[in-house]
Amino acid sequence: MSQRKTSRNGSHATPGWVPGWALGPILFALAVWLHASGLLTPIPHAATPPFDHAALSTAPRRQILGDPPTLKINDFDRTCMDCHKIFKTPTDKPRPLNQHKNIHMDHGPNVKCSTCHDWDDRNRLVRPDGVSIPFTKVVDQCGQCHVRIRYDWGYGIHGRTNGYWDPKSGPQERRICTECHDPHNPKSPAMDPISPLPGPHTLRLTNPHGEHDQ
Amino acid sequence: MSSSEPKLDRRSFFRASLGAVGGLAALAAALEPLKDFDRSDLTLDQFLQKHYKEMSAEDMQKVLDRIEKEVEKRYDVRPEIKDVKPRDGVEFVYALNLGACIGCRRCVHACVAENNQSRDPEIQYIRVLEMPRGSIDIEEGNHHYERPKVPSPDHFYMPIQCQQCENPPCVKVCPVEATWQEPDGLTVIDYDWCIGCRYCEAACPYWARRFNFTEPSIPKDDLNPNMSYLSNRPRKQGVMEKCHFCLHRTREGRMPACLEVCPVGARKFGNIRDPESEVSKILKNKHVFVLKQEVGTHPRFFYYFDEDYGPAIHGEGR
Amino acid sequence: MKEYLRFLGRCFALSFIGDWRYRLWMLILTVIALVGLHSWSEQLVHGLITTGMTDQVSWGLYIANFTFLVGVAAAAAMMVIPVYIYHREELHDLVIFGELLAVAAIIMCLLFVTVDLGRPDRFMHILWRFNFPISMLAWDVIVLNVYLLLNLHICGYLIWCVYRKRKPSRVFFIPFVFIASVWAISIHTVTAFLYVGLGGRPFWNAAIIAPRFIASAFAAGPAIMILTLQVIRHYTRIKVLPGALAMLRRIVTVSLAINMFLLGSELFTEFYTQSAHVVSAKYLYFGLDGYSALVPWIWVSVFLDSLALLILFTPGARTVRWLNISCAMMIVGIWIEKGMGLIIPGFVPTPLGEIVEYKPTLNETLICLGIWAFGALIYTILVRVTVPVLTGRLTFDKDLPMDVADSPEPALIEKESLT
Repeated sequence: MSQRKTSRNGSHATPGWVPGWALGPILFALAVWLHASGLLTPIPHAATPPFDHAALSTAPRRQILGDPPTLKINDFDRTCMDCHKIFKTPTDKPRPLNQHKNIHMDHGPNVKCSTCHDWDDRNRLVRPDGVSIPFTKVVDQCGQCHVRIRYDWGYGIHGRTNGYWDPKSGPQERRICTECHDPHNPKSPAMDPISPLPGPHTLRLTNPHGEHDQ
Repeated sequence: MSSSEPKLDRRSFFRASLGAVGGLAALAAALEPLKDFDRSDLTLDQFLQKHYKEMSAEDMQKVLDRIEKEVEKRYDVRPEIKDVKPRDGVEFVYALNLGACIGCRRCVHACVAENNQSRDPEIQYIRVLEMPRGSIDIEEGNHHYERPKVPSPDHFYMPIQCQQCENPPCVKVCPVEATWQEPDGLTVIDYDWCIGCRYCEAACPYWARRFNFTEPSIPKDDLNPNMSYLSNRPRKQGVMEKCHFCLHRTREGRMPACLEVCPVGARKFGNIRDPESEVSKILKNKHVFVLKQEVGTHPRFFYYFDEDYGPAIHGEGR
Repeated sequence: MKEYLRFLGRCFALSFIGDWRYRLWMLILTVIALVGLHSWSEQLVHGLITTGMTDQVSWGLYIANFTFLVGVAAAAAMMVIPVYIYHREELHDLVIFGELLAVAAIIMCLLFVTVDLGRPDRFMHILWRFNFPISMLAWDVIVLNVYLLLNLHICGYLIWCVYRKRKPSRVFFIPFVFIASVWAISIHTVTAFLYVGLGGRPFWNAAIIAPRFIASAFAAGPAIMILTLQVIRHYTRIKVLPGALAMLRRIVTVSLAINMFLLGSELFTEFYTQSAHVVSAKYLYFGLDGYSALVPWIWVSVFLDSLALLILFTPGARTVRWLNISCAMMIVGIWIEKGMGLIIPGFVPTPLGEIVEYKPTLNETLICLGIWAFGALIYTILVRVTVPVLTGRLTFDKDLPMDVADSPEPALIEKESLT
């Protein structure tokens, strides 16, 4: 509207402190200032700090044992019985172990190895009712005591289900007990604490004194 | 008032011209920033694009081809953009076990990666609140907790995202029907129809909606090329977005990204119309609740507490 | 038709003619409007990140000003009610200035909504898919635009008839005046319902907001008219009878008193109950968790409103000076209370309890100032054109008055008491 207004103003010079001829130059000055001023408000940035994207893996937290459980020793796959056939365990009493030193045993009343491990076939587990089962069926083992959780797990209420919610569209991966929990030391909380990923860094976050939080 | 002759003399003509030119110059200078406007955003095709619900299959194919080209030009990645339709007999429901959640925020960042949210400024669909034990009032939650390890024994954690309400206030308020509820219960947004008035953002009782205050920025390498029209294709400046339960995944039978990454199995997702689904079992067997029931939104996102023995039971001494 | 185009052309020409004060005023407004336009261009390019708004506080100064101006627009036309219902003839010739103000205010409202949009280029989407009658914003678009058309029709028709030296036909005039005065209530009610309808925002989700909107509008709108009419009286030959200002003063006093009463009721409900919903009010009046950006503003507003009401209750308000002071205080007070004081606390804390404060940026403030300047420019031009027509100096058979002798005879400028 500016050019409209000024186009006629000139024709009616009147005394006063804005003579008509000044309008043009004032608007020119404005044009120059607008051209030079640019963006008057700096654009704030709010980016998430870098973090290790490996944390976004969907893999289970623990490695589980197969049937029979195998372990690479000197590039050869060994099963439990490869050793236990030769080296007999002296006694079933709870005691500091010479082998398997990484195991920290703290599982309530279960203090003996033979409570869960098949004494005769170390490639297998043994249920409290005496039935020998493979490691892959550990759910039946745990479920003997943790009955309610076993039911929930059966319905999919407890535990992780990955892959497809619709079994007709693709495979469902049900995580079993030992893929999350350490059977020798099922602490509370039931898994090891982990580092959280960065919190929100939205625009214009300030603390009560108006300073930017970082 | 001295010279009031109606005809222009040479001097006043000069003054008038000077004023007019000065005015035009000022106007031009005022509009000058517009020369930096992203013109790729203002093509005739985009201008004439129809509302999602009015597009025929051919229209949609044309639009998808065009968007694919636009994305490729911008991110150097040829995406595959689909228009995944809802399935019959499916209604999605989410259930979240607050007893299990440890507040690790992996869902937040998996969602960002899956759904191509802006990294700067940061846009995230999921907020995880650290709640003091003894309260369920979300006003008490801490959004900005930073600790070396979670969970803290004195807190529990409550992730909040779009609740996919059965009675969504955001849909009600949108003046141009740019957001609506699909037959499978997902409230979606046509990013090419939204006018950016942010009324839906004000209406949402769960603070689930996000606005692109500027052109979103996503590193080219991080772009997820598996896209769909209503979900994770890159958004433009000035439009709304929000969680859509990863519909490009879930409508193909897969689990949403936030669930896949959850290390503790606190997140459960499925079809509530299937009585055998995990979520149906949870709703039948567990004591669930919804957030802000009093606002009458009927969320499809349920919370429950299950199987968590706090520090009082499993203390250090045990 | 040809005659009408000529009329428009002459009005257009007339808007460039004035004495130096007029030109200085117009120049200042033009400069501010252009600076605002520049800032808007920047905003269009970079996005709303140039404003202080965030996902947490997603509406700010734009919507605050919009809300205030809807009230001004509604109340300006309310001058019609005493004229035609109570036959207050002293206001009769002045109604048109109220309706012109409504026109300018609605244009400003529409501009404020436009600059608030993230994608103004898609604005015409409301023509293809319009969520009516479900969305309150759709209602608002309709009522505001119809109200604009109604007032344009009333003013335009009246001025055109006087210009053509015809007597306005009652059929084309009176019904529209009544519709407009009822419609005025609707625009403000619908705008209140915009906020009231949001169940997720307890601060707004209160039935009292709509009546408060009307009450505060009936205070601020006529207050602006009181100030405007005096400007018109001082600089033009339009006669503003003292009775007119007295009538407006009465409207303002009662409305402000009702507004303060409703405010008190609201504060009582919030603070006596102390339910979880009190947090926003707490943030507004006392600060929350150390965040207190709005506290000084709202107390200034409460102070100004109360003082204005006190002055209006005393005989002092019968002098023009004190009336003007109380009107100015009230306008500022209501602008704060109904703008920033209503919109921002609705977002603080967020529905998830997070507190992010809102502070308008320079860019955003300049856009607001630009729109205000543009609105003032429109109103000035409208008045500039209307005055010579109403005083009979500009009719279809007269030459364009090339001098600016619209100033009143000196005798009229003298200070008058309003009683």
